[in-house]
Amino acid sequence: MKSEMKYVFVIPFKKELVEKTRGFKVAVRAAEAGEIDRISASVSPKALHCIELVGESLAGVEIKKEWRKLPLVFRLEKAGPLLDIIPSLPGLSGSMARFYFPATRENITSARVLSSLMVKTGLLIGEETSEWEALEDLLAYDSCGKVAHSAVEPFLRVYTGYKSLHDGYDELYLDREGVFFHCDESGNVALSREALRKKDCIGSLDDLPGLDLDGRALAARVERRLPLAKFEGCAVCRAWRVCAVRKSEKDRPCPRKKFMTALLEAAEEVNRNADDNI
Amino acid sequence: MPNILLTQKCVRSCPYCFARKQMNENDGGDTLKWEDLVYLADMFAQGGCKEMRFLGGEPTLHPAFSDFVAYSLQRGFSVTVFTSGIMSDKVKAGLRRVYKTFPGADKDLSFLCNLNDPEVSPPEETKKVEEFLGEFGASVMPGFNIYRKDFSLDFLFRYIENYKLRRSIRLGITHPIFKENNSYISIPGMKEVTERIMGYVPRLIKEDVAPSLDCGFPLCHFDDAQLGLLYKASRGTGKFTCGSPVDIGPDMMAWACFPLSGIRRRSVYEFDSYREMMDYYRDLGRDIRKESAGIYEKCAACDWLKRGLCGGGCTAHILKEMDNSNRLGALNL
Amino acid sequence: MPTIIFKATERCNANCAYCDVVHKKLAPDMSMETLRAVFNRVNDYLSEKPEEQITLTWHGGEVLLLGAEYLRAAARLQDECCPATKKRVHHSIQSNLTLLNQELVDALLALGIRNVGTSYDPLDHVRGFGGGRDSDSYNKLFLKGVSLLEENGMGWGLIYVVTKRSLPYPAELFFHLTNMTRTLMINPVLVHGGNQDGLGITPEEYADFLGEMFKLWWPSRERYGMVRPFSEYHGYYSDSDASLICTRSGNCGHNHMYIGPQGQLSHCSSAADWGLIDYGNIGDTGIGEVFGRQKRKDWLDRSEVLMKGDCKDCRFWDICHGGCPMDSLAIHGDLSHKTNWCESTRLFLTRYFEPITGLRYEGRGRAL
Repeated sequence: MKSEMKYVFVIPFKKELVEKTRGFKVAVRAAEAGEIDRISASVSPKALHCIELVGESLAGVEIKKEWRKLPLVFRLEKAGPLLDIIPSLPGLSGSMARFYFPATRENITSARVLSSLMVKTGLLIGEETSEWEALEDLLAYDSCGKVAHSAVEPFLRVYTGYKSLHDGYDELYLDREGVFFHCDESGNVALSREALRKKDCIGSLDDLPGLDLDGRALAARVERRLPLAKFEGCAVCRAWRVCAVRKSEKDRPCPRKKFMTALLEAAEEVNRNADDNI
Repeated sequence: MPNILLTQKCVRSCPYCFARKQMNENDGGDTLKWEDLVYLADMFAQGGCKEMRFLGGEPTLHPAFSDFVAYSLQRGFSVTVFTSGIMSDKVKAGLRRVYKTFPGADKDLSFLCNLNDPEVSPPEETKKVEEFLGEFGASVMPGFNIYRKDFSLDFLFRYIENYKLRRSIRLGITHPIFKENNSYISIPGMKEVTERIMGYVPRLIKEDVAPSLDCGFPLCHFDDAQLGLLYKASRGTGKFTCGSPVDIGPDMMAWACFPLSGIRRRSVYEFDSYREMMDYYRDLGRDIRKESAGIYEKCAACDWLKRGLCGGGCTAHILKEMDNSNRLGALNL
Repeated sequence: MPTIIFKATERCNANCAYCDVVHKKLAPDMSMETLRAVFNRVNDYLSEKPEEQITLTWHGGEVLLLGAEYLRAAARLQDECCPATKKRVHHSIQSNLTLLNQELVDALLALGIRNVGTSYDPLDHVRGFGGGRDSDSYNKLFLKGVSLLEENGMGWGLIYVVTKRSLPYPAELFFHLTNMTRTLMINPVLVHGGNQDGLGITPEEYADFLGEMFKLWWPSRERYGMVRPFSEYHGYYSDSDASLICTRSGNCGHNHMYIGPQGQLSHCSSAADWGLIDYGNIGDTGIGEVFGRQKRKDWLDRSEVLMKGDCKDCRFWDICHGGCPMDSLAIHGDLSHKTNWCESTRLFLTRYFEPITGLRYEGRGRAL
């Protein structure tokens, strides 16, 4: 792979930003659904990592026929009432669009309901997540359910990649430092979504060489591995490879360990069943 | 097919209520969770069951009732709601949206409304019921639970005409709840009830309203002429065998039916499949019938029972009799 | 395919507790003249044997101390001295990776190296810098090194050396190491002539340590990838293609050789570091000559001697072949004895491997 294609710039949709990132992969943050057509016309399919839209709820989201093969990623606060969603279901479930929600109790339930209706969903599981038991329950449904349903992320990512996975699933959230570089309207570049929010920038798209992408990628890779320099905590956790959080505290039981271990075991079971054609 | 109790809460206090024991034990607090509905939908779909039957208490009291109905329809199930007809404006608004969202809902969504005689019901309840019937009547099959021998069905004919209800009446007869002291029709009383029902058959035929007998009516309570009339009145349907429905509570505990709600309760999650669950409770009925074929001694030698045309009356009566004569030990309930 | 353990330097920037080289009087680095001589001998050997290939395994000390220019010079010398045979010369490397930078990566790539062998120990003060064995700095630089390899699309495999300090933590170490890599080898510490810092372990301790790790590896072996010796044994038991590590292959006499910084020739790293074998110098001895020497014949006879002697009737002969010949030479002065690690192989297989897997080994390809 050309080295440029290893990196993804996450940009708002502006013509000049698309131009400045030509040759790289881009994830485009659409301000509203009306931009989708123009984005897909402006960025080649090979370079388009995804189109990201942020919203309040799934209710009212319509996926037009011509968008069905586009890599759409929605970040929503909640699903909303089912009756509000059902009219749009054929478009939602028949497309590549995936809908991510924060991993609250309500959204974990919604993910299950939507998954059973063949809508591609995902949950944002991170340091702030606390509903581990509910997540484990959802995982049991997702990995063991005998009736067809749409697999939930990040479970699917782990099922398909757990053997070679060493960095967890955070790339799904466009939040892997050293891989995703987040840009604002002016082309300022930050290492993460959060860093951009805090305006903690490393440079500008006007000076690509100055960004030292390779150096940033290496530094980020090292940083992700740093817990392995110690013989404690996350470093000795069997679920390291699937966990995208990796922030256990010394002398305190890790609240994620049980769930992450279950996730790893589920991945193995799913793959075992696939091998046995179950 | 199983009945799913969405909630233990109810809006009425019917004297014959089968579910009273359940509701009393659970203080009305439990409602079926979304996760469990999804689980049941998956289980039923895998088992080839195509219908969701929502019961209660009053199922429309469930906070996500309309969404539950919508979900079930979206999953391809037909939905039958067993309701009193007493529901809030919000629920009715939800139902309107369901009909709007699912063009096929007039076929796939139906209500079995257990109606009480307005003569003996509180006026405010009657008013609400009639509002419901006025709007959704075309999807409503009226039902009536017979808990006293001097019952009247006259009001049902009126409702069917006035509100364009489905031209059928589901007639249930109250049975003893195992180990409870509820109001029910005794075995001798059932013969009188049968006669009274037959008294209505000419009118049912004339007005083209089909009677549908719920489980527990023994075949031998009807002579051949009566059976012939019933056959015509019911448009060629009619069963005298045990329904074996299986009830599932909002806490996902299952039992055979309300009268047997106190025995052999198991979590739905203990069963590997829909089939396994249904077979378990069907086998419970068979185990009981092995000890006592029916509500009469003559049931043991009855040809109609042997040929599967009659179930020998309600299992609950059989259990009560066995309990009275200390013969329950063999059953390991 | 001969493997030449090639030590161009014995210098090291680390001070690993169990290292034999650290305690030696160090020779100067290999000169360019000697390096040229090495490539000329390689060319001679390959020209005489058109069907052969050679692997030069760069070893140390710490190879990266030679610097990028030295490695680039080696690549140039190879081009110059082996014009017709260079395609049959392969390079591999063992390095602690703490000195790795992009320049060195480019130099390794110029030698055709795309995979690096390395070692690591997460326990404090086993591997580290200086007298105090600063493992904190060491570990961070190591992680930076492997990250740099990966950023350049290169692979790496990890050797973990089991010491006395490891013994209380088989599970934690297993998870830690497999969190880092899917290519892992777990070896016992080899202690010659003394128990370095009390780190030596007995064969039984090694077997039990491996056993505890095996309990974790076996049920999830797909997840963990290749962990030797488990994968090796599994390969042998299941009759799939499996190669044995040199110490168990029984045929290192056919294909191993050592070249030291001054051109001194020996059998392997252990033989040289422990001063057990001297085959002369690359300056006056060719590679073919080394393989043809009488002492090599002793290697070839070793299997026959062991099968009639120490290893008679052992059902694990195919998997072990009497172990490392250097163990026999170091303790008994000859090659006719099995390794003192034999017991660890036998114990591990009978106490853990066979009961857990349900397999029983009766000879090559005949697991029941």
